[in-house]
Amino acid sequence: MTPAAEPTAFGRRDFLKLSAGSAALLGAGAFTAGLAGCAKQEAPAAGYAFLRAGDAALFAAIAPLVLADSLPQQGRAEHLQQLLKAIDGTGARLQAPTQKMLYQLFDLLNTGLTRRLAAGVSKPWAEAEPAQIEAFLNRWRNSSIGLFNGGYRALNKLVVGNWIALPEGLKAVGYPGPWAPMYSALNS
Amino acid sequence: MAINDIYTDGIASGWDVRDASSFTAPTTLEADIVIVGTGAGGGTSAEILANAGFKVLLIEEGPLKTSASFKDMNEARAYAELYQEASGRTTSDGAITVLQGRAVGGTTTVNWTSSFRTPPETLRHWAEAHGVKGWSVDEAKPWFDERSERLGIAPWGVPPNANNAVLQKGCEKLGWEWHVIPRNVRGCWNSGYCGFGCPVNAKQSMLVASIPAALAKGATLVHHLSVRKLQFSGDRVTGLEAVALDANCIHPSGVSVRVRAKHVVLAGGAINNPALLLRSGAPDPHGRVGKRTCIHPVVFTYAQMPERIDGWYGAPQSVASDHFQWSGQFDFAPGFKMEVPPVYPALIAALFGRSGPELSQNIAQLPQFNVMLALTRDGFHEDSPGGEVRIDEAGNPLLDYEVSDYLFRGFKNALLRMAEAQFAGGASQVMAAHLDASWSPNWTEAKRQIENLAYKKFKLALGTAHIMGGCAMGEDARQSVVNSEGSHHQLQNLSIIDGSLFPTSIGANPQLSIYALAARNATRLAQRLKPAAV
Ligand SMILES: Cc1cc2nc3c(=O)[nH]c(=O)nc-3n(C[C@H](O)[C@H](O)[C@H](O)COP(=O)(O)OP(=O)(O)OC[C@H]3O[C@@H](n4cnc5c(N)ncnc54)[C@H](O)[C@@H]3O)c2cc1C
Ligand code: SF4
Repeated sequence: MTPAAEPTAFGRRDFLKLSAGSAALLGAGAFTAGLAGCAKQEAPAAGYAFLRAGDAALFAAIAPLVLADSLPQQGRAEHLQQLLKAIDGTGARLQAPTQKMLYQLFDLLNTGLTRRLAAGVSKPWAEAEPAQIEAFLNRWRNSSIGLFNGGYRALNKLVVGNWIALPEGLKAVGYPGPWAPMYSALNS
Repeated sequence: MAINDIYTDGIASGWDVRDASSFTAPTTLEADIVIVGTGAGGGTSAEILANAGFKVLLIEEGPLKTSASFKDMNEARAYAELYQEASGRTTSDGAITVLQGRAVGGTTTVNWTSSFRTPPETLRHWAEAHGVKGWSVDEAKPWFDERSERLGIAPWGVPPNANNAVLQKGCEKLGWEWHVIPRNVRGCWNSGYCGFGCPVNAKQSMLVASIPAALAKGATLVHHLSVRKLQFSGDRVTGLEAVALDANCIHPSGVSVRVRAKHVVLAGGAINNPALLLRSGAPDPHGRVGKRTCIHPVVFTYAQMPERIDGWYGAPQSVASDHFQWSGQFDFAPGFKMEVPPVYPALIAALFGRSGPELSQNIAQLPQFNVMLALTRDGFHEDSPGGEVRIDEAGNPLLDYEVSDYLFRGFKNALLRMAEAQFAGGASQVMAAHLDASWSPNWTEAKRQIENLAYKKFKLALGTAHIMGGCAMGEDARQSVVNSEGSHHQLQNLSIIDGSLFPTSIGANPQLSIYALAARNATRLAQRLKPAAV
């Protein structure tokens, strides 16, 4: 999808107006509808089995805002890399219909026009302002349109579910580790 | 301390276990009876049919993972290796999370060990409304007795962990019915890791109990092998087309496998069984395949307890309440069973649905979390017909599941009762699993909030770990796919023996319902086929 003329700036009102419009554009409540025709046949990024370059950039941008203090400041770049790998591993194990649904969500968020319209984020993810990303997450969560709530849940679950399963994430929820009496008996 | 690995020892003693990812050339496998899927239905059938003297071939698309690989007690490893789609499966619209297992032992390898008999109300309803014959309360009882004995099923004799104790205390205070959950365990350590694979073989899953018994009787197990199609000639299944998967169990390895057997048992579970039949173009003159797929849709509430309860440790489920299950206005809303899930860190954090400081501050309190769930009894009312399994162009399964107002009313009732029980159980704050919800400091406030939430998909967190139906049993071929003993109405050498048989949901966690019915069906099948004559 290469829009000929992309409008440059959108305010909150435009977002609200257009978000309803893009929901209609996408069909009745599923990402599988409208964009199917222009889903990009792009290969996963180098070193990845599922995430394409733009998808990895999307997650790298939103993960710190989704996770806040659950993602330690120290060693953040490395943690983000681990998280992207984990999301990629999960994505690679999904079956085709689930992958397709996610790719359509990612395409929506990675195409300049729809990113602005549906997410209200004016710059590509790698350059997006944290405040805009935060506002995007809140709008999609609070929206009365199921499509956006669903997109929010999908992104949130991929980020949180994969991060909290990693060692640093487990620390962030106060998990003391595998039940010690059993773990030490089995692993000594 | 080394736990002896059943499979390492068994294979050394001559069990026939093959990993199809290591196959390098197309092969043909033959047996008297081939069983597709090794979960509750497939494992039970294999044990009984192998004991009866048949040459049994068990096929599983998931990997063989055993106690040795469970000793890391790690959630990430479990989801990646043991669950369908790494636990990321959902309904076709993404609104309902679908947890199912995918490994030798099927979902029993990862389930939480709660073992209930099919409620008498459900059995009566099946006979009356769905033409199920020969499976009345009295007829089923000996099979429940026998499977309970076989799998060590008994009410959990140890005090509940603190997460379950909240439900018990809440019910006691409110005067609601509650009961101790029977579990299928032997020598259980009360650790709580059942959902990641039991590292000490205490859980009497199919991986630990029935499949080893079948292998010891000469059955063959081939894993990393996915059955893609059945082939037919007239009213018989003549063969199976399968593809070997790569070592990671993700993509086909390129090696194809053909299977020939005199009799075929499908035990791939709900969703995958109907998908296989649809992919194969199996006869379905009345369009019943995939219909009435029930899921016990689950809603959740969180509670903050005044002290640390470490809800990740200890037997995951030991207390349940049926107080709202069988008495209520069922024309208005469905009944539900109340339980708790284990507070597995990633599972619960991912369900939470919050971002930013609101997420990090809340999940930092996970040690103080109690979580409650309600299993909604779907499939018992005309406004709750269940969902439908269909396939995409490539033959992949999709589950469509509409949520009617009838069900939404049940969800609201369940959220209210769970919040009430949590406060009665000592919670200091309670919140429904819903995108618009916030913590309530008392029951009055929680009630007001829950009554006013938007009851919509995505806003409300919805999940299922119990997929049932889609190949319903019954005597009327216009309403069902197989007869009351699991024999296909149109294909004479095909049986279906697993959770996809149920014409409605169960109204309780389903594994023992599957074990007992599978034991009966496999026993009858053995009598019908007689080893010598197959
Ligand atoms: C996290 C979790 C906790 C649970 N806890 C409980 C509990 O405490 N108590 C309870 O009663 N129930 C519980 N359940 C549910 C219960 O375990 C299942 O309902 C039951 O195991 C279903 O049995 P089944 O035989 O129908 O299918 P499954 O046990 O799911 O087995 C089907 C197997 O067939 C394989 N398969 C499918 N299609 C193919 C194919 N085409 N080729 C090859 N192989 C194939 C699958 O990979 C799978 O391994 C839980 C479920 C989950 C997910
Ligand atoms: S609680 Fe018991 S059955 Fe579950 S993992 Fe621990 S030892 Fe195994």
